[in-house]
Amino acid sequence: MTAAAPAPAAVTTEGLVRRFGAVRALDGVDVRLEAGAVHGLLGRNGAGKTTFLQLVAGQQVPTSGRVEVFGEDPFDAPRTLARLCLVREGQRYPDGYRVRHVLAAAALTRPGWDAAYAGRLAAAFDLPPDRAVTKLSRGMLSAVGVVVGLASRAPLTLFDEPYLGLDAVARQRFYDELLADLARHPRTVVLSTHLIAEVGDLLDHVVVLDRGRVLLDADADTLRGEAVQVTGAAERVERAVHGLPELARERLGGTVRVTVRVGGDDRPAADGLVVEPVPLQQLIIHLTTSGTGADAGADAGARQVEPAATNGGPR
Amino acid sequence: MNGQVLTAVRLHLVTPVRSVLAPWAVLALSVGANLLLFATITLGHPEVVATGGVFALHTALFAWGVSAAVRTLPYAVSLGVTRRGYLLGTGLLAVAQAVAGGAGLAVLRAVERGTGHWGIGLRLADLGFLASGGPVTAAVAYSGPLLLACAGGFAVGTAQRRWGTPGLLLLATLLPAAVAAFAWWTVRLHGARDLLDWVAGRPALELQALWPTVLALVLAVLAWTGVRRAEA
Repeated sequence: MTAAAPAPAAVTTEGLVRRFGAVRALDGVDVRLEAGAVHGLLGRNGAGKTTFLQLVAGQQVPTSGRVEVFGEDPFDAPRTLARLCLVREGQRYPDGYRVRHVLAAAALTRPGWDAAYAGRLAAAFDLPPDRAVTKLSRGMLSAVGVVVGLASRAPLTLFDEPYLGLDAVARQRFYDELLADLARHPRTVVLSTHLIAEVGDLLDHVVVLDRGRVLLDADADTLRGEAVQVTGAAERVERAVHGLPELARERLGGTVRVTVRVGGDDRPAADGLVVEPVPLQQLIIHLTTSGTGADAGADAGARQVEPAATNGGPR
Repeated sequence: MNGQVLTAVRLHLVTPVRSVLAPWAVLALSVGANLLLFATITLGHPEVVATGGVFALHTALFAWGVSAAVRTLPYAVSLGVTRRGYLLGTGLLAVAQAVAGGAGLAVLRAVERGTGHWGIGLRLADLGFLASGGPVTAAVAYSGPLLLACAGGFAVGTAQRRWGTPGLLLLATLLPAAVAAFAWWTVRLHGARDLLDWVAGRPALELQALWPTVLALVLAVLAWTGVRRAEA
């Protein structure tokens, strides 16, 4: 029996380093982002997310290492650049630009541009076409980026915190539009965000950066199945999670909730207990703050995270 | 034509009022203001007066060059336009602006001469050191400094992007010092009189158009060193 061939890569990086003076914004990043999936690029402020996306988009030059987009170095490569679109938070526009100029410029440079769709999106986000971009609120500026990102229909679309300033309704509209448009026009999307709870269900794959290194690189479904929360009477919970790597623990009176990693058949028995999947945001917070993440970071790119502690085992 | 170069040109023309018409509006305002001012001053006392009113066009094209390097370049890169394509496209548009500007100033000079210098002896475009000869020669002569203004603005904008304000201040200090040092060295080598004689012996069009154009090309090459790895 032959193994299924892996999906082609939209983005591959090897030993990617980007220094700004003494600061190593990226420090040896090895990542492979499969084509046709929605990837979450997560991490705290200053983790290196924006630098990573700018390198992928050919907007910066690596200090060392390699980045390939659809098999080619993206820097000043017209064919590759025509196939990607980076929507940046805080994008600056030329002097005198109005909303309609942004859309006109995108139409000039984006081979897959759908002007009718852009018009519908602009109307949905209440963007006045003749308003100068310097007069737009932060949320409206974000909406302009969202419209460009979606209507470009680029085979690789990179959103860098695209919804800062957008209210909850507008953010939900963005998620709905993204999902609907992906269904009609499948492509590779990378979402860099802090709002893990909101985008968690959209993601097929997650990369967590921390201080310029890959802390976690995992398939989202696998990640979701890697941990559970067990809630119930303390004694029963302790019995159920015995021997499982513990990620977090909360206690309220006689009730305790323990988040443990599970693998294969190591699922806690559910008799009299509530066993729930862990929301992606909680899981990533646990993995990146419990010390287990640091272990994973030492083995950059590794999907498995070593436990900090094992219930019933030596600490 | 290379698609990237054409895209860069079209990207500039997304805002035609700012990219193309604004320098002409600035020139028109300057001409109008000069006419009004000198018509009032010389009322009843006509005499030949020369002003630098047309240099408003040079200033506006310099500002356009700065903006093209500081604001439009990073945006173009973010849209996937290659740096080389952007520089060539912007250069092409600068040449077009300079040629159109040269022709416009030649027309202005013809109007000026035809109206007895606006009826008040005012020389705006009819400045001998800027252009001489027939209309076509004058248009070519006017174009050189206009191209230099575009290239100078782009070079300054590139320096600003690359090194920030401290870099610009350093440039503003070092460049005059370098020019002064070169002038001192040249005078010491050849003598001031010989040098002036040599310059005076050059054809007018060479001084008015060729040298500024060569200098503009030098600035464009220097700007390329800052543009080729520019970030968005």
